[in-house]
Amino acid sequence: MVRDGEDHKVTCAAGCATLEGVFFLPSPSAFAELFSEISQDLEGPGDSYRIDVTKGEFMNSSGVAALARLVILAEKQQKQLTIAFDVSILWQRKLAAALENLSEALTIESVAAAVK
Amino acid sequence: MNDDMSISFVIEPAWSTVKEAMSKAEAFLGKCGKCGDLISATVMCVSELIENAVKYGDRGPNGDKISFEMTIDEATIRVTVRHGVTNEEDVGRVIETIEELKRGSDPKQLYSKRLRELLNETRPSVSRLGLFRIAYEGEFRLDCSYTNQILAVSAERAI
Repeated sequence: MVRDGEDHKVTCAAGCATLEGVFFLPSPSAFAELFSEISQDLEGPGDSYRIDVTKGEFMNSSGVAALARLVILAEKQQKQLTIAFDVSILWQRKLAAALENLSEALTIESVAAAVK
Repeated sequence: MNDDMSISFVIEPAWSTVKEAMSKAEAFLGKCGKCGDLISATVMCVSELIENAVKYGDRGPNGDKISFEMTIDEATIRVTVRHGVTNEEDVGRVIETIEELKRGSDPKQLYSKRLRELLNETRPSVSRLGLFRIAYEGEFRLDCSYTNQILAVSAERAI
């Protein structure tokens, strides 16, 4: 399923989700709504899940907080969560470093610098 | 300072104006010959400061408008956002956060700590992550003042 916003897109498929574009919403609850299908998938069957944010150009701090909440949801569901970051993008590189020791349920996948 | 190296404008406290301010800041930085991480860091800083002003600002002595200023010289870039705030609890939280960042030697640690705190909060109403992010991700030093119900938050970093 695809959730399209003005300038962002969330695509969910079996066991994975892709975030693309500019994620700029006014509150963590607005992001919780946008990420609701990811949350449902994390609560569903399967022992692992992958979120690819490498095509995320920008995310405001409400989105960062919502993304971190998905890590904890995965932990509660005893599911291994992998988040793929593009380390050539500042916000992704810094967030990857900050999330590193947040949870044992989280694996950080650093993707080689994308050609922009 | 050369006029070309500063930009200032006044905006309405509306969600749509945050993106507008980000675009203006990005265009200005490009005009000044800046690129890469410096632009990303500064645009993020502009977005977080103006977003805070939209969320927590209210009518001050000069109305409810938000004033924005950015200056660049050879060594530093400085962003200042001023807006009216009457809720002293909100002002206190900003001052407290900035003081915490000034005292701390490791913004990354404070940012990670705030992320962990967020995970333990049951209601995801507000993140209050923005100032920590400006310090950690943007590598800006923050300062603020509160006079006559006007809150001025400034962020400065080396180029």
